[in-house]
Amino acid sequence: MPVFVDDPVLLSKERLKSELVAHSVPLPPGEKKKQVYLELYLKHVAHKKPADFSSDEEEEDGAPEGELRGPGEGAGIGHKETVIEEEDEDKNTEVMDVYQLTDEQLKGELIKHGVKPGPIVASTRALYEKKLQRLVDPSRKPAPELAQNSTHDASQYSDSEEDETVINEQTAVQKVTKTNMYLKSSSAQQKMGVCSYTGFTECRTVSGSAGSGPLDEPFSASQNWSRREVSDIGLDILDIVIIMNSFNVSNTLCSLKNTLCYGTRIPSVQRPACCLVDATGLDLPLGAPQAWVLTNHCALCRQGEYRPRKEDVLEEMFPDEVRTPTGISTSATRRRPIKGAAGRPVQFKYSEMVPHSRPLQQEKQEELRCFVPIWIQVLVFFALAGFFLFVYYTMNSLSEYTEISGQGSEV
Amino acid sequence: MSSTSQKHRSFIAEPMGDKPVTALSGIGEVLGRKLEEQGFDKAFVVLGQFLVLRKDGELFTDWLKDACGANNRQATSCYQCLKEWCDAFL
Repeated sequence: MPVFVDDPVLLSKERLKSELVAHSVPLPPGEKKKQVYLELYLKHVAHKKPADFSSDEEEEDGAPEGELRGPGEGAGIGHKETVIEEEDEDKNTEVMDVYQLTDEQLKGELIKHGVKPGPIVASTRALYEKKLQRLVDPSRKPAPELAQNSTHDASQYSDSEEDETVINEQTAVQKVTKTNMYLKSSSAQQKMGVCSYTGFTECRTVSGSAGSGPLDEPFSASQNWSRREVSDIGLDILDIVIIMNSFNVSNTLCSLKNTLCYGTRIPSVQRPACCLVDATGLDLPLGAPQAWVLTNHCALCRQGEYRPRKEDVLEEMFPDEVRTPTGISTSATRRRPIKGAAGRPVQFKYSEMVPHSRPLQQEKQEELRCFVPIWIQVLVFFALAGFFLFVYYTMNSLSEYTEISGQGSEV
Repeated sequence: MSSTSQKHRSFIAEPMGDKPVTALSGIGEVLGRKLEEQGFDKAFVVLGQFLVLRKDGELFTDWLKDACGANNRQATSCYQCLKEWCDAFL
């Protein structure tokens, strides 16, 4: 595994070339100056470094991926180690303090911290040391798991970040990129690469094999294919130049189409295709600044470089969750809703059960709410008590009366 | 406090005498073996440690966790058992 050298300028030309190959960056044909390779290296290899932990979404790079990760990972681990060492040193100062105390000192310290220690003997000393340490530095507790798992600098790891910014640059570009992605996903063997030369930027869409299968209607309908001479750039690769023309994205791009779309139209897209947008080669019609077009196409190219966004189920489900380098968010342990046999979520399947429980609760709440105030209760209580008293007395008097009357009758 | 185990009740019902360490509630075969390896073969030896730690629950459970790898529940159970025994017989 090559050792990562911080400054690529120091690398030899051969080394740069091999690095580029290792990262599946297409090399410019023929021998070029070191500067060319250096730029390529800076663009593709160096900028990938921060995204080393960006999960497995870059599978397309295939085997070289492993090598790509190697150096960066090594560096990451190295960094971690230094951090741990620092922490250890930090810890050691205090740990040593606690360990070096005599039994009496330890006892004194514990008393100082409001703990009344028992006898400090061989079997208890370790416990008291630990306790003292906990008292001295309560912060030395394992960090919460969330902090361990979450990314402090999500931007460093998230590989989709760049996509978004690029998209934001020009919303109009989105359509193009979508089609680009479509192209990508539809032909599995296609690879996209971005080459940066000194003078210009170009985007190539090189299909891996000619027989990658017919592309679907939307794609072929959305693009006009033009043939263009590319010999002036010194590229012998491929012949078909897709100029992003038929996309109704913006005026500039549309006008680009007008200028660039000379050549034969190719009805079928089953051939190896090369999309080449050459800023220097374009004579821009509306006097649009070259840089603008350049950047836009860079954006296009870069977009093309990335895999189409996955339909991330987790992301969809927990949009608020912090993304983690592994792509597994802290809530990743949460399960997807269990589907019924027919593939329907349980909540819909048994939806008739849900309303049952709710009215019960509501009833209870209503019961509580319309519970009569206490003063009415007291009033009713007294009223009832009075009524019963009244009944009791009337009964008494009645019995007396009957007794009397009975006596009377007896008499 | 939830109901105590049968082991707990039988332990605090009588003086511990020469009972093995596994008679303590929360100490099963595995933990008992580990404790025996460290010299805590009888329940009264564990009681001694418990008393030396001034019947401090936190320290005792910490010690038990360290000594034999007990989990929180087991350590707490053992602590409760010894504490109640002490309340009854000490």
